[in-house]
Amino acid sequence: MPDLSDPASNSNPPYEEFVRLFVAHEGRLRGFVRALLPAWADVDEVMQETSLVAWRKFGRFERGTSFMAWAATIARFEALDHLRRRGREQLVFSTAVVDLLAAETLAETDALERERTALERCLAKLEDAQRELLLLSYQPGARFHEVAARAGKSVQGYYKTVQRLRARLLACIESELKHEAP
Amino acid sequence: MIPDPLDRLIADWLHGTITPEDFPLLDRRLREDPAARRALRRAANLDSALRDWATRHEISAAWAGADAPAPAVAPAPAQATAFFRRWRWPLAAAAAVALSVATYHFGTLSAPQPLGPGTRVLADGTVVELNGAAVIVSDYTATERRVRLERGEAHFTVTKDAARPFIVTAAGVAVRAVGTAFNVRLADAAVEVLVTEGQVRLQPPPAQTAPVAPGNTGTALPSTPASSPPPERVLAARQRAVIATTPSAAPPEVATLTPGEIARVLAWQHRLLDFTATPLGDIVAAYNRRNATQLVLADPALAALRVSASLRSDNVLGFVKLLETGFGVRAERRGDSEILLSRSP
Repeated sequence: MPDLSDPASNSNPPYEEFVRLFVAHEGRLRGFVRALLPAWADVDEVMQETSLVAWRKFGRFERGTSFMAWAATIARFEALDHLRRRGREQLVFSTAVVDLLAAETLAETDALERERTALERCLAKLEDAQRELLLLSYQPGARFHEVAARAGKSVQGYYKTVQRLRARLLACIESELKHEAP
Repeated sequence: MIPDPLDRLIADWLHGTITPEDFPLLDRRLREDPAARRALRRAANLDSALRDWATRHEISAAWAGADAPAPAVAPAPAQATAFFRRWRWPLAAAAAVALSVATYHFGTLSAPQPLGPGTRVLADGTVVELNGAAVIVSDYTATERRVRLERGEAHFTVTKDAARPFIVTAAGVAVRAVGTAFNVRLADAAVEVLVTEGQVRLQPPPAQTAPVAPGNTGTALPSTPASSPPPERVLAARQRAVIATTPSAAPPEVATLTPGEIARVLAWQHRLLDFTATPLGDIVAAYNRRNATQLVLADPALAALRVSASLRSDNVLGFVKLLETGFGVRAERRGDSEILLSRSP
């Protein structure tokens, strides 16, 4: 029986299996981490750490159980550890909130996935200019004030525009999912 | 209607601007109210999905359109690009297979991170251009070079090696090449293969053993018994096959495309080129590979000029404009398809 506790030393590493699982769950996992952290830079760092820790511990993952639940446990720990290291204790959700968010996120991963699918349709309903205006702020590494300046808006004005468009998308997603329901 | 303060709290939290005074309010609301937690989960999920979407798609108009304001440029070599971060590959030693994705290094499996042009050079020199969030897994042995398209779309320019065939698989479809170029797109219920140079041999998934449909231009190789694997067929340059991957699917449809249709299929290859202190000679080569309009350096010394910029790969005129305005380069059009670059007097 090969020792999977150290994937790097295994002669036949389960790397492809790990990648396949991680890719399949990565979007939902990032959504989960996003709920716990206030900035994309933090989310990216935690996702990176989560992927590394998950890979190192992949030998302990029990096949047949939920990879999402397993990875989310790691992500939750990494997120809290990240916030502690960054000295943001005042902005760390209470343990009760984190646990509730984690449990409820895991219970509704299918629903969240359907929301992500519906988003594609809802984005298509926005005008091109609105869509680009919104998505500019989601470009990795984008600085909000720079994006606002490039869009010809004040930071406050751009923020309000983004929030309005987000609200429209959320309403659209809800409507789409209602139509989907049997 | 008075907006629910919860929406503002969640928005501020996700935006990173929540105040220390507001944060306990949000925490308490989340602790006590399941609807509040659901609202946060939905908002975070939307945020994450938008980030994925923005990462997969170019935002063209405001940043890189030909008529847009000049892009951010930085002649200083040390300046990193503003919008992209790169991750190292800490697991390389552990990986027995080479893995590539368009939007992030698999070695770190971090959140999607654009790497500029989604081009990968495999161990044998084969060049793979990945569209959006395409994922490939390569597995090279002494006897064959095998690449699996896990999702999305990729274009392969294969290095010739008669001793080691190059095989791309996608949802049970195998495309075999020796030295050629082709595009593979894995859709929900079909695989599309478009040959842009040379030939490939196409192996449909096992369920499809029907002969080539009348009118199709793909060439069926010698037939095989029903119990054998389905017959391979040869696709030549400009031919596109659509192979359904559902169990009771019809045989592959093969059509010959016009150059215009091919250009439309491959339009995704035009993407944001992201250069940091890159010699102009290399940038010109990158543009010339992707465009009919060719840039020519009239002054060889210009090849060493370092340029940092982010521009769409089909925005040749925008790039030339950038050189003229920011780098002391003079551009002179020569005919319909050549632009001569020299130093401004």
